Amino acid sequence: MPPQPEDQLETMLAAEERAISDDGFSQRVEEGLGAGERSLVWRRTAIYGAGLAGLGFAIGGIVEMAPYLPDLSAWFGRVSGAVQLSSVNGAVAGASDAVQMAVVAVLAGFTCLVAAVSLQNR
Amino acid sequence: MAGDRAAFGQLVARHQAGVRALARRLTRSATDGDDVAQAAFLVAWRRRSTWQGGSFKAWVCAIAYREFLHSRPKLPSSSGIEEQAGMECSSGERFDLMRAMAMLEDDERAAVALCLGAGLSHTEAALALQAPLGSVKSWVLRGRAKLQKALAAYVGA
Repeated sequence: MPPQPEDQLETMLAAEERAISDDGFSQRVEEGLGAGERSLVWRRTAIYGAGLAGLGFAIGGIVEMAPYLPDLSAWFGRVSGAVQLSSVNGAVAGASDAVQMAVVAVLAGFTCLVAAVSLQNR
Repeated sequence: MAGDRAAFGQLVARHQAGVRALARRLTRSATDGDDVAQAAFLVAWRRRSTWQGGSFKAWVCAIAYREFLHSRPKLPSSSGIEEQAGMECSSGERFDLMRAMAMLEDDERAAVALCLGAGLSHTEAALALQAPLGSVKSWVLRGRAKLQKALAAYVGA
């Protein structure tokens, strides 16, 4: 307590505090904890699930999808432009390739992981 | 996990009156104050891993103050003294105390509620209010003086 001259203010404030009965407040907080945890479990499951599903879909579809998807090389500042040289039967000009898709998939998965960890602490 | 919940429940039961009193003084309303206090305990539970020891009450009070600031735009602007008085106040002394607290400036009321009401040190209150220590001391002094003047009949000033 900060050193202050004695008066009855603290006594009056303490009396006001003592007059507050629990009247179910602790129980409501307890129920709120349970609801919050259930919400957190669902949120965590949804985020992890969506991230893993997206990651699996992207990786699983790399070979089939890569030739038909738009060119993503510009996203990487043409660093990965060389991979456009790879030729796949039926590939269209300027299409993405498997390496780009893999990089995007890993980045998406990592982003989801960071988001999930971040949301757990909120 | 269940042990954590049980221990936290005991802390809530032990400190609920103090935190609710603080929140009611800040919001000037019993119902709004209880909402703020409940939100503060839920936030404290979610962020329990960030508690670095020390006074649990001071930590939750700091959270309650932030919750109050967060919820203030949504709270009604009118004073809830009468509503709070109707629920809890059976004596003229307590009603006069609420009215005197309501007349303080926001910073003074927060500092008085934290230091004189919740029993936080000036340093703990400065951390909770995110204000300089000197300012907190000034707010407490000014608030105390105003309360003493308004409640002269009770405090014998």
